[in-house]
Amino acid sequence: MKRPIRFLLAAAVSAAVAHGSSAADYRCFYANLHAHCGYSDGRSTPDTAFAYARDVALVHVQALTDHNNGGAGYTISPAQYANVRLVADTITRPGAFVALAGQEIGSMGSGGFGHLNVWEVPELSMYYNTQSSLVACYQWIASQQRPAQFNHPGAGDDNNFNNLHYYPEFEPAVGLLEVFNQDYTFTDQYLHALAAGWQIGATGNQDNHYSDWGNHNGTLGVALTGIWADTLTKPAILDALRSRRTFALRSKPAAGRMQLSLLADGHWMGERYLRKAGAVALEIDARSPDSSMKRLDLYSDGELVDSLLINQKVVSWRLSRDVGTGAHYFLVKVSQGGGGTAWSSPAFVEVPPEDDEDKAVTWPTPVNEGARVVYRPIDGVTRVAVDIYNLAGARVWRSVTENPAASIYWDGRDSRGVPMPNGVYVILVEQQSPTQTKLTKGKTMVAR
Amino acid sequence: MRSLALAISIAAIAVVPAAAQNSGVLYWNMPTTPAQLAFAASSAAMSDEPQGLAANPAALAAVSWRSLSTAGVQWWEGIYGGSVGATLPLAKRRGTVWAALGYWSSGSMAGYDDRGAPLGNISAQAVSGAAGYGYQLFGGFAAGLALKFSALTLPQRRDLGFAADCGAQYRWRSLAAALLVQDLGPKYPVNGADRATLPTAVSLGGRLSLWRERITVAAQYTARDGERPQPSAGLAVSPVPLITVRVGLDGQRDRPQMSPLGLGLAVRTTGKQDYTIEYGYRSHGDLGRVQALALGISF
Repeated sequence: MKRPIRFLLAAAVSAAVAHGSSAADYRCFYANLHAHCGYSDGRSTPDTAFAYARDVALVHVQALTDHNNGGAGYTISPAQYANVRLVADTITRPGAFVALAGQEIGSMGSGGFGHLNVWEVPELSMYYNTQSSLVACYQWIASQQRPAQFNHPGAGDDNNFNNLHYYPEFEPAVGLLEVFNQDYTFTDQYLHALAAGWQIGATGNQDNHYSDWGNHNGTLGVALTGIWADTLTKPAILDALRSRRTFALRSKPAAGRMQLSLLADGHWMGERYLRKAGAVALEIDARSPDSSMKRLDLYSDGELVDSLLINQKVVSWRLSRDVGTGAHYFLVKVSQGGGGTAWSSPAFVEVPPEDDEDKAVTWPTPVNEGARVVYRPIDGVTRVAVDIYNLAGARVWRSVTENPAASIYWDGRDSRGVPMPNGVYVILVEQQSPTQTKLTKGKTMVAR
Repeated sequence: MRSLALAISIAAIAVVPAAAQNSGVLYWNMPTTPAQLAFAASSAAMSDEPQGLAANPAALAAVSWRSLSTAGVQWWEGIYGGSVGATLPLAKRRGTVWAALGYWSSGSMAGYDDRGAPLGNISAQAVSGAAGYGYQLFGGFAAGLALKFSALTLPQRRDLGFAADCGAQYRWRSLAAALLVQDLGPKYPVNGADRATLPTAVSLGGRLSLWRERITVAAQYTARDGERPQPSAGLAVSPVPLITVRVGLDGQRDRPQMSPLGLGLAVRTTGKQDYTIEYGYRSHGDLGRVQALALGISF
C-alpha cells in the first residue's frame, strides 16, 4: 500500500501554535531514568550523581537504578538502597528537580531474560527470585505497583524477555520500554512489543556507568525521556510514568532537546480509551529549539501510515485516521535535521464491536490461553466487577477493580487457577458510577 | 440376584470422588425437561418418569408403561436445548429400558482475534445421549445402570465423553430411598489431547408420597467432586388429578445468580393413553430466566 507523504508549507507552520490547547495541561520535563553509581558498577555516590544531573546535565528528573541482580560487589545492598532513597528524597525540590530511587533487576547471560528498571519501591527485591524467573520478576513488580520498564531489550535470548512474550496479567506492571539506551536503538523491539500486545510507552536513557549522569553524549546524541506532567513533583512524575505520558528522544546537538506530544481524540499518548468506529482526530505537536525537524512519521498498528516532510522547528500536525473494530495504536517518530530522533508513546484506541454495543465480549474469542474482557464503559465509572459463569450457572471467575482504565484479563481459568474446560461461558459486567449501575452481558467460548 | 444387588450397592457406595475437579459443564447433566428445571438436583429422587438425560436408573424399575416425550428449554443469551426420551418395559417383568437424546446450541457469537479484529460468527453445539436399564430385584429393592455420552463441537475442535450412572432404590409403601452415583467413567477427552477428570457425584435421596400420591415430597443431598455439597428438596402437589404443581428448592452456593426456587406445572389427561404437557421455570437473576416446555405420551 502506498503511504501518503505530505509537504507542509512554511507559512502554514509558522502560523501554527506550538502546542494544542489540550497539551497545555501538562509541561514537558526531561529525565534520565537509567543510571548507576558506585553502589553497583557505576561511579561515585548518590549525592554526587544527583547533583551532577541537576546542576551540570540540567535534567529535571534523574533516577539511580543500581544493579540488584548480580553477585557480591556488583549488587546494591539494602542499606545502600535505603541511602539512595534518603538522598533522593532530600535532594528533590518540587518545581526544580526530582530524584528517583530505582533498581535494575532481572538477569542476563546464561539463562537470563533481560533487565528491568523499577522506581520508588520501598525495598529491594529478593534478587535471587527476580534474577531466576521472568514471571517471578513480573509478579514482584506487579506487587509493588510502581512504574517499571524493559531495559535495552536486545535480540539475544538472554535479554529479549522471552521474545517480549505478552503476559496480559502483568501488563499494568511493566508499562515502558527503553527505545534508546546510550547509542543503542530498540525501535524494532518497541514495535514488536506493541504487536505482541503490550501497552507500553517509550523512554530514552543513558544507562550511565561513568560520572556523566544525564549528560552522556554518545555518537548519536544524548538520550533522554520526555515526560509530560502537570508539575515537577515526585508524585506527578510517577503518575506520568504510570500513564505512559512519555516520549524517547535522542538530542543532537545535546542542547537541542525536542518536545513531542500526541493526542488522539483529546486523549494523551499512553492512554487507552474506547470509541466507536470512525475517524480518530490526531493532534501531533513537536518543537526542536536548535535544529529543524525534517520529517514526522505516523505509525499505526506496526505500519508506517503517513508522513510529513518539513523543515521547521515548530510543527503542529492535525490529521484523522479511520479505525474499525479492534485494538489500535498510533505513535509518531520525529527526525531532526541534525540527526536527533524522538519516538512518542502510543495512544491506544479500542473500538468494541458495533453490533455488540451493549454486549460484553472477549478478545480473542474463542479463548485459548486467556482473553481481555471488552465492554463499553459508562461515564464516570468508578468500579467494575466482571464475573464469568458456566452454563450451569456456576460463577467460575470474578474480577473487581476500582481502576476502570485497567484492562480486565481473564486467563481462562477458574478462581483456583484450574484451566476451564472447553465450552460456552457467560460474561456479566457490572459497572458502577456515582449516578448509575449498569449490567452488561455477553457470552464467550473456551476452545483449546 | 441378591448378589447382583449387593454388588451394585457396594460399587455405588465405594465410589469416592477423585481429585479436585474444575467446574466444567457436562451437557448430559444440563436440565432439558420442565421437571428437571423445577426440581433441579432433587429430580433424580423425585421422578419415576425419566425424560431428560439425567435420571435415576434404579427408578426405571418402577416404570411399567411405555412413554415418549420431547422437551425444549430456553436458556440465557440465545442458548437453547432440547431432548427426546422414551421408556419401554420389557416383557415378563424383566425390567425397563430407557433412552434419551439431547441437543444444545450456543447460538452464534462473534469471533475475534486477540486485537479485536472480527473473525466472523462462531457457534458451539453439544449432542448427548443416554440409555438405561432398571430392574426390580427383590422385595422393594431395585437397581439400575445408565450409560451416557456427550459430544461437544467447537470451531475445529470436538470433545467426546462417556460415563456411567448406577443407582439403587428401595421402596416401602409410599416411601422410597435412593443412592445414585453419577458420572463414573474415563477422563473427558478435551480436543483429543488434554483430558479432564470427570466430576463424579454421589447422591442420597428420599421421597414420600401422601394422600394417594397427590402430594409428594423429596429431599436429596448431592456431593459432586470439586463442588460444594448441595442439599435440595422438591414438592409436587396435585390439587386435582389432572394438574400437578411442582416446586423445587436448592441450596447451590456456587450459583449466586440462580434462584433457589424452581417452579413447574404439569397437566395430564388420563385414559388409555395419557397425554402430558409440562412447563418449568427458574430464574438465574441477572443472567436471565430459564424455561422449558415438554409434551409426552404414556401408553
